[in-house]
Amino acid sequence: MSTATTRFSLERHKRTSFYLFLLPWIIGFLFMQVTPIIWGFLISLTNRSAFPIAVRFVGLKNYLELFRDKAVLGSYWVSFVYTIANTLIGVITGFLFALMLDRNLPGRGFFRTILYFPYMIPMVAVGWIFRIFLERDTGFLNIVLMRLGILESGIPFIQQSPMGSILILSFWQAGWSMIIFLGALSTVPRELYEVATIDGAGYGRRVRHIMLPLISPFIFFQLVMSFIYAMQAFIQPYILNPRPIRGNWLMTNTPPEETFFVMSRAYYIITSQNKFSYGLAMLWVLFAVVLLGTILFVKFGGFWVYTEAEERK
Amino acid sequence: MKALMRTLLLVTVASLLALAGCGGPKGPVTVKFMSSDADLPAAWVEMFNKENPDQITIVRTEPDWAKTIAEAAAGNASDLLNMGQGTDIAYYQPRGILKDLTPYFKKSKVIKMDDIDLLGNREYQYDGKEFGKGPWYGLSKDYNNIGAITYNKEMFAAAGLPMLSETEPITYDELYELAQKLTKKDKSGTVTTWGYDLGSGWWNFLASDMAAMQGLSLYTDATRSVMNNDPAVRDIWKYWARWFAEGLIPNVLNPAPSWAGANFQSDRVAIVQLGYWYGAQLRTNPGFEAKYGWAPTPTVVKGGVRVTDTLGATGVVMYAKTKVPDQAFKVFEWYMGGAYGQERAKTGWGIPPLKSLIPLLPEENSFDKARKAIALDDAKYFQPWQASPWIPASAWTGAWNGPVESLTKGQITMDQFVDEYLASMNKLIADGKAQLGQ
Repeated sequence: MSTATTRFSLERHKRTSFYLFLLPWIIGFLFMQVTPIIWGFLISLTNRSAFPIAVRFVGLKNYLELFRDKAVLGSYWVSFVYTIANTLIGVITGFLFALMLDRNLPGRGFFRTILYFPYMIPMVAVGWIFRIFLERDTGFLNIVLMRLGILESGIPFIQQSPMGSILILSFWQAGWSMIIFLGALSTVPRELYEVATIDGAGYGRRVRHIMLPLISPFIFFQLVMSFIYAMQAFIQPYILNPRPIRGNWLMTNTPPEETFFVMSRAYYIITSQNKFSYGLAMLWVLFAVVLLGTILFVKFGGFWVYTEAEERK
Repeated sequence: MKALMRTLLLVTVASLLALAGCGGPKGPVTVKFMSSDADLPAAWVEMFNKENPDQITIVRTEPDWAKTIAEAAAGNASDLLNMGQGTDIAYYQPRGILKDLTPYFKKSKVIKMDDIDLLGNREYQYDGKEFGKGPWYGLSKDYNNIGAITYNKEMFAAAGLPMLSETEPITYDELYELAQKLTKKDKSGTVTTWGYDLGSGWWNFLASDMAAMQGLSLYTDATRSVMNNDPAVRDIWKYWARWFAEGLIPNVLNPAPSWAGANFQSDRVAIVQLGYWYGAQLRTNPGFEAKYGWAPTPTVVKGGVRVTDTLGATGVVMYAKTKVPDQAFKVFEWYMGGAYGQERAKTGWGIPPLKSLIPLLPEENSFDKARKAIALDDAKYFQPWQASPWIPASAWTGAWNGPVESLTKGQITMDQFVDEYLASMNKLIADGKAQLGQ
């Protein structure tokens, strides 16, 4: 057997092994992800309710109806507003935390842990913590403010500002962003700061001209990920619902319009109204919005994100 | 090689066929029962399973109709299902979810047809058009006069108001006036004590009673496809919206810390309309006998027609495609009329579905005696809630919430509120009809 034949046989063996190792994942991906996705899309082209009765193909009717449904369009809008606010709050707060904790201060490790800790708590638990914290009569915040004489009577924070109440969670969960920024800051060569300092650059100019450009890929990553996750926010409006929630009312008592996010409304439409195909159409449009947003991020990210990779010509 | 492959294939097929035909299940059959822990406590499940080690094992599943519908689409929902409102039978029956239990009832020695309390179980019998006729799809686990009044006597005394009669109903207008007098605000205008509260969405049921008392329908047609927009019916919706708009009931501007029952127990609400069952919860409060009073469901006109309802009564139905109907019915019997059914009756959380169990209801003190007497009296005037068969009960609250909040915030007028609410309901009903191809 020639050397070339042996090499070819080895290559083929490697390739076969590679695909065999991948096979379980490919099968899982096809059956558990691709199939439901395609099935979901096909269902969105029918009039199917939660019950498969009198099902027929309706083409793009559900999609066209979506764009005439003011309530649904409102949900896309509030999701978008929440996404922008949540992303900015998360990234800016995380960056400020990281700047503070990037210095050699005593107790740095302790504060890093404390600030990251809330991110490890499940969203449902965080929601309940804040529901109790912000409650008008029994909430910790109102009790403290009233004891200090700042307030005469409690403020119904959740009812007065449902969106604000949900956005407070973004501050609390900025630990994820902080950890990424801490990693990012450690990649910036210290010599650059030293050189700039010798040249007379102050702290602000060092941040603007050295730190921010060099950590821009990390900022970009966080913006994209935060956008994708925030557009799909679901449970927060249900738990921080200004209306009373008890037992199974949690998911049947709808949130107010100003926080009825797309995912939350789609869930309600599918489960409480049993409009299965319409809810799925809503989710497909959400997917398209998220995809479009991500493409735009990637397209325009090139103008300001620093990279050492050479541009292909 | 080909012969070997053929042999292997044959052996495989033969093995699979042998496995498939190995006879029925050995050991106990599992009956999945969708219910809350409160309605099916683990201790009772364990007791049942111990008493039936070789026949049936109950496995409780969490109450979740969204999950049930998805499971039903796949043909494997829980065998027994706790149904929040019996009137939802009209919605689920044409969708093929429910099993007709009439043949089982006819054969049962535990649930005898003439022992079923028709006053509180009518919603579980449905002929496709009307409740109380045709096949039986389940039974209420217990039923309640949800319009009955429970009030805080101390608050009434403090406000200089006379105690309510236990036999003569007050009117809904009187209820409104009482709530006005009992609602307290602090200097900043924040409500500290509400005059009145009720279960979430229960105004829909009480509005139905009020319409029935006046001989009105909530719909314009017999198939209940279009909401009635006549002034008299609009006035009923306005009556309930006014509670929210005027802050006599917890609303979005003056929220209460919890739901009606908990707020009442913590002296934040003076009157609640929750019904007989709520007395069992109040019995955990010290001094409940002296502190709380009972009154029958109000009427529209003083001394006029009385109509009350059970909200459809929470009950149990069987999944149409259950693979173990006989075993599931055994559990159903145990739950309704067997040891657990009897024990439940003794706790006084609701009037039992079988007439023979009614004497078991507690009446050791004046509090229990009063609530029982009122419940059994109110029951004489039960009429099924005017549910629309095209939408589930859970859909009503969603249609109400948005417009009522706009009204409370002063963004729309009362008439605009009614217009928006009825328009939302009509849209939901039209969608529900379309789902059935109608």
